[in-house]
Amino acid sequence: MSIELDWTGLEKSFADSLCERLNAALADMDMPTFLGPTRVQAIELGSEGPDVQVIHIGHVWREFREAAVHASSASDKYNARATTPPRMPMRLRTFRQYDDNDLPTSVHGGADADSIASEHEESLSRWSDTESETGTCDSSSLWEEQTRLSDIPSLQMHLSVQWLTSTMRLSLTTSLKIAYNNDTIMSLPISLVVTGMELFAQAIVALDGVHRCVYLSLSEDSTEECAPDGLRAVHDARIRTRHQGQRILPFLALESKVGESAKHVLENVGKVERFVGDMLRQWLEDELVYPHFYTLYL
Amino acid sequence: MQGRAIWAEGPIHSFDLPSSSLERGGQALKSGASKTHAYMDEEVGTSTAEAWTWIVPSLSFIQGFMAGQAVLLMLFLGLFRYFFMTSSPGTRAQQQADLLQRVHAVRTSMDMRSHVPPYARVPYEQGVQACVQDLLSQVRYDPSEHAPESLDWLNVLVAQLLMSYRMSILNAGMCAGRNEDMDEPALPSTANAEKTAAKLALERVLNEAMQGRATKHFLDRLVVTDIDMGCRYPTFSHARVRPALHAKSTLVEIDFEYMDALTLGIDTRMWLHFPQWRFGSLAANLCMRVERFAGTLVLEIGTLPEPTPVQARVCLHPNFVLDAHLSTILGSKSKLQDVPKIEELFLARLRSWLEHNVVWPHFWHIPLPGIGTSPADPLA
Repeated sequence: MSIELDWTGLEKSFADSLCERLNAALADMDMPTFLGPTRVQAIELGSEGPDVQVIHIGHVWREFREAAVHASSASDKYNARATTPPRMPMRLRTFRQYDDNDLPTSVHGGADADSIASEHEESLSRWSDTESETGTCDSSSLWEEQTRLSDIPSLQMHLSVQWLTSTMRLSLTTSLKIAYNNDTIMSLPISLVVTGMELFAQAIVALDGVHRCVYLSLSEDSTEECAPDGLRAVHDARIRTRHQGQRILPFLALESKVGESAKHVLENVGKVERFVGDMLRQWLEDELVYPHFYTLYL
Repeated sequence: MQGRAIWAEGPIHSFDLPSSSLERGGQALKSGASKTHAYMDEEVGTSTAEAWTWIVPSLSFIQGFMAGQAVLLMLFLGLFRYFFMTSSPGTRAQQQADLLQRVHAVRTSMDMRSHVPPYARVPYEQGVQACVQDLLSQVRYDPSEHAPESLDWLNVLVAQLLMSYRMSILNAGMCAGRNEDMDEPALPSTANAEKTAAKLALERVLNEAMQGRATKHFLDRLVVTDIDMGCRYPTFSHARVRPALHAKSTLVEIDFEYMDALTLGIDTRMWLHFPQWRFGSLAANLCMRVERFAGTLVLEIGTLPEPTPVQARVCLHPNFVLDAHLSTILGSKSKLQDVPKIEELFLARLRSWLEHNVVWPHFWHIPLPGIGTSPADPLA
């Protein structure tokens, strides 16, 4: 373990605050219409902490920098669009939402409903493009000059995160709604408990001293040597772009209960568990897996 | 009543009335107004006789008293004269004339005993530039023609200074390390007594310096794992005098070169305080070695255009060379070794610190002892 974490020393209050934050995020999220109110009941972080290793430290990728420049130049636009409905139902609102049709390297928030399909197509086609998939480390002289003048250093750190846990617990409740003519005619309560998972990811944390922000993204991990761009080459680059969610989160142990606990309850429904797992992986791919990333402004 | 009767014979008696007569006077008052005159006659007769017995000591008292008053008055007048009154114009003129006469006599005597070649100094009113020209001609230094000089004497002096500092670190480390346990593993920094002493002294200085900074929560205690204070000395050469940029003074340019293996290795731990205090930590070991430091040193002495105390200013020309390397190991079990990005970042910070502190146009100001100015004056 390269970075030593005091996992068992984490206090209960942190798990509670995490639970509250998740609930707040879920309340803001646009859930599919067939799902009722979803709420995280409790979180236990367990005794097995993640194994975090620093595997690469290098230049900030050009894609991140360009996205930041694009975002700052388009800041007026996304302010104006903050009230428009999000185009993808399964996506979280991000901390900063960009308006960049050219770059698929950021998380989109608001757009017109007409453009959903076309942009989605565009981004899919870009996913198969190896040039945009790998980060580029070249740095222009202007960027070097700006970096030299800023008081925050600019660097990109790749962390290998491996979390194999069977002691964590995350319980959440939701309900399946069946509607007819905009009226809910049936609601089926579902409670889910995550009891274990395996996470093999490469977290990309880039500190940008020029724009004073931190970019966060995920990629899949392996035991191979790092490529020049810092990513560990796993497969053929064309394959790397697909099903990354499956490889980042290969195993997710879920316990499900369908039905009202006072009456008959259907336990451990495999199809429901698989569906939830797939949804989670899809969400990871759409939100966090490179070329999508979050930007936190300092 | 009694007082008035005695006063008729002389006012001096009123001061020396014996208590018996006063008592008797009191009795007379009590006995009533009708008997007053009869008593008065009797009393006048007796008191006149007694007064003649008192008159000799009373006169001496009066004289003494008056003399005392006079002395006091003289004293006050004297004090007033010397403390509150300036000397009269006439006296001052006399004093000044005396002073001039004395000075003139001394000057004449001195001129007769020594023979100074007549030389007219350029007065300061003609401007700093003229003064500097005059200065150069007086010291017979023509900047355009004078060949650069070697500075072998300075090399010896600086080497001596450096050696003294190295020895002082040794002494300081020995004083600091007497009470400390020496149960550490055999680090390169504890290979011999000199390195151990330098390690202890540096550890103390670094840890104390870190206490006052914002980074103290992010870094654990620093342990000096490797140290080399070098064994060679810098060489200075090609000293030449150049006019300063504003032409109001001269500056001395000196080339210098220092090739050595100054090494400092540090082991520490970086703390991550999220989501709670000391949640994560990353062990870090850094080792920096400076191999060559060369450039041109500029020395300038004088006052700036604004009124400041006399000071020496030192700076480096921007084309200085600093060859240094940094080796790093991050992590405790699985390690990430020699990250080029960290070396690049660290050396860029070091270079930028130098550029912002001692490289032209930034100067390192050394205040010199001032005359007529307070040493506490803020420097520019």
